[in-house]
Amino acid sequence: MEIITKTEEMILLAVCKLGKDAYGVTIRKHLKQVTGKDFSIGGIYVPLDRLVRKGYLESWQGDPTPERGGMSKRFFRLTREGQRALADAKTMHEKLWAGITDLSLAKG
Amino acid sequence: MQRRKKQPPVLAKWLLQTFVRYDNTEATLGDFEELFYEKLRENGRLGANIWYYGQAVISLPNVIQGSIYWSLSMFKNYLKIAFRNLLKHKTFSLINIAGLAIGIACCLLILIYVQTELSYDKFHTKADNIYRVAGWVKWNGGSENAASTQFQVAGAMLTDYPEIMTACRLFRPGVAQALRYGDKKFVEENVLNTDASIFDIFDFSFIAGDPHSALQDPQSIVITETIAKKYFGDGPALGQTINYQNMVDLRVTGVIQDVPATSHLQFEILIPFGFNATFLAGLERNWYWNAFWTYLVLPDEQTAVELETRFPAFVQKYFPESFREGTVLYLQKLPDIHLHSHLVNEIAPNGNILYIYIFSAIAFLILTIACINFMNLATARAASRAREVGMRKVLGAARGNLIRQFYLEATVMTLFAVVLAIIIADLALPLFNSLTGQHLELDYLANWKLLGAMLLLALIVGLIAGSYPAFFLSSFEPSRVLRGSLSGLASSVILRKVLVTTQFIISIVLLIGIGVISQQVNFFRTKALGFDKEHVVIIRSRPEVDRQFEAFRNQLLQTGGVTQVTRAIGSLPTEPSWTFRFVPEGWPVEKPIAMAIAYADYDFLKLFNIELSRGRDFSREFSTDVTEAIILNETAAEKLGWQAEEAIGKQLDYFGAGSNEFEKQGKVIGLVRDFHFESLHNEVRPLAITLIHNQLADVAVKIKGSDIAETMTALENVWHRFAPQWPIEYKFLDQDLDKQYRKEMQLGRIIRTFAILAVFVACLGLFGLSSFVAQRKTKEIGVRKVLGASVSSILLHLSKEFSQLVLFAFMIAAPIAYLTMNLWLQDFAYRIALTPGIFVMAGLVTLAVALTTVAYQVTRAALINPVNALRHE
Repeated sequence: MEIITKTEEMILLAVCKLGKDAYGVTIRKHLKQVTGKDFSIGGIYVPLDRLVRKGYLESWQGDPTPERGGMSKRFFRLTREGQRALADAKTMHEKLWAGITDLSLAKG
Repeated sequence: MQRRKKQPPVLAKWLLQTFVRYDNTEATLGDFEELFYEKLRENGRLGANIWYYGQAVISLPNVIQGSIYWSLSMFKNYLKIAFRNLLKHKTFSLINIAGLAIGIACCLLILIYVQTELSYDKFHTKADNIYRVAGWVKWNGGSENAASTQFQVAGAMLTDYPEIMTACRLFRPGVAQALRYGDKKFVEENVLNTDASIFDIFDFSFIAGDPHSALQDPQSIVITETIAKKYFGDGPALGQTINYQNMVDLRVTGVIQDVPATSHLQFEILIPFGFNATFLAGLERNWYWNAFWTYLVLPDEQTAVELETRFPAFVQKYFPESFREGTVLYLQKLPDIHLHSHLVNEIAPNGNILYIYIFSAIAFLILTIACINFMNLATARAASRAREVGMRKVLGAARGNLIRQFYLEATVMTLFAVVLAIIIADLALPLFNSLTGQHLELDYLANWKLLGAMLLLALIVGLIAGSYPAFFLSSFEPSRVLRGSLSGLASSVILRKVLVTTQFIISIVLLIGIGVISQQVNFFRTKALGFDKEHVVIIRSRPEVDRQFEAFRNQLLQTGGVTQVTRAIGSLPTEPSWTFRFVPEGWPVEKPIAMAIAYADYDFLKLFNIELSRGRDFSREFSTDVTEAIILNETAAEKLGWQAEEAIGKQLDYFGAGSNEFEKQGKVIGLVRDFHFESLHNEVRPLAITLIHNQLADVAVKIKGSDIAETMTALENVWHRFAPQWPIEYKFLDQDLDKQYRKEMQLGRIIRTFAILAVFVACLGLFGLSSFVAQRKTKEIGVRKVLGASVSSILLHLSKEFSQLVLFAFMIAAPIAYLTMNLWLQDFAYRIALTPGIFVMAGLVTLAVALTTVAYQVTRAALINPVNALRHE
């Protein structure tokens, strides 16, 4: 089970949620909405590329639109491995958080 | 149109474009445009622009990070492949690395050598302001450019020229000095007389005592650490008394650290000039004797230049009339002395800037050979990498990527080579030190310049050596190489042959060089000198022995092992000869002729078996011989214009050293054949020999060739009977003579080592080349065998190719070597002739070595089973 980084996890989840509409702008807006932080190129596009290279995402080109100065969109969707990676991440998360109810419980 | 005005700012767009170059630029840029227009709607033009710019700037660090990450992944892959290749072709890799390592090690060693040589005398704080006064002196018959000058020059200059800040003089007593502490007697060679101001000029670290007052007292002495230990053990040296020459007691007023090797001034003991009033008085009167090294401290260089212009007036003012014309004084900068000064009477033999050039050239050459090897071997294996290159290109690698990959491989090998080089350099250091006569150290931690230079070296070597393979291998076209045809490699073979030939040219030149140098040295050592040098012991005389010389001589002869005893001054190559002014019969007194003079005792000619050609030898039967008799050598007779027979009986007078009175007014009683009373570097000069009279002269003893040890013991016993307070000092003449040619022998050893290295590295290259050629010719050999060629004929065929290379290299190397060696030999008055023998030998040796190197590959190729060969596709 390969551990994915937090950012990667967030992006994968965003792609999952956005479904057919998952491309740079929407992912970015979604993340901003959830975390309050505005990620720029390095925060979004680089991890996106990495995830594609790792095989968790695949991309496909959309149609060019005038709002984009005539450039096409690049959409993303989860691959089988990506789904598995997310599932693993969730399991690990649950295991880690299991049994912790009171966060102030620090061993003195 | 409205749209035009609302485009995102061009500059920012360009920035983003550049930053996002790594992948799918268009889509990402499109995303940014979309957001831009949103911002435009929300915040207006300015806000949108600011935001856009902001985005571009923020992206920068992440983009860099991203591309580094990407590069790192490829880097990992390249490294993996590089190591795999290294291991797959272990032999080649080893050869490559070894070759480079040797080259780098050589460079390392030569780097420290050059660094040390260039740093001589720089440790004195005033080094740049210290100047030495040197001068040309001329007399009728000769002139010399001496590193030392007259005793009074320093004092007179200090008086006349206020811009001179300090001055000091140094003088070496011509013979070793006897020092005594308590009952410990020593004979010291490294004693110098000097002025107290020496420590104001030069920085010698004081362990005990005060530099400013150390030599103020005329009866003081300053010694080095080693001497202190020798005399006083671990006890304190300061304040102790040492007896000097059985003449005077001196008090130790200073102990200094041993003089560093990087100083042209070398000594162990310093004694002031004034230790003996008579000695000092004698020096002060003499304006002829230029044996005193004089150093000045000047404020700056302009002063020095300006001062020099006033020297001619100085000479006119102070020098005696007969010396004025022809005396030219000038200044030398202290740091320049070690490498550039080769005057008569240097304090110690200096280094030579020529050596630095030679060594640097050699290092460069060997490194070049190693790099050439590397290139050769890397491209020779091109066949095995061709498919990989093709595949990589098909899969999208740009040429740049491939270049980077092969550079990386070269760098990896260079790094290994560097590690190996450090080890090699360390192991070779003692050998190198003995070759150069230095005591160099490879301290990387202390000598950061060395470390930096080495890393730089590694980098440059990697770049150069890797350049050709990188560009060559990356140029393969997938369509050609994947099909399996290797035709593109043919042209590279020519280049490779050129490279190997160059290596051999260098090697052959070096081999010829050794041959010539060895022959010349041998010539020096075996050439008939005109006198017998075997089994001759030279003993340093003392007044006690001298006073009773006849008795001493008789007792020596009685010991049975001794056959002849005589005395001599200035008549053997092992000691300097003196030059006096002679006035032959009928010659004007004002224009004396300068000739060499030697003093000898009665049996001198007999002991040394010098051939008398006319007249007679000195004889005890003629009582006037002591005051009158002079024997000339044939060159002298010629110089004085006398035919052989007419010289006998002629009047010949000569002046005493530095005086206007005749020391002797004599008659020529005999002529001898020329013999080499000076080193073979010089032609035989005219020489006059006269009998010793009231002079302290070395004793020459001829002993039998057998039972030498016993004879020597007997000798010592006799000595002790006459001079118990002096230790006996002696040397064997033939061993001593060899020392004169030390410089040439050293040069020979150095060149020999480098020649061997060069040949070795060249052979490495040849080995690689031969394997490649053998591979390439596999099919050809197979076909030949099928058609009936025998193994031996194939061997011959393959060897021929390589022999041609060597032959060609020889043809170019021979003239180069001939010219260079001729130039070197010009320096010697007596030299060998350059016979073809040496050249042919060098050529044959190289050929033999080359053939041996390729033998393995060639034999293997010749023994191939044609079936396998022809299957090789």
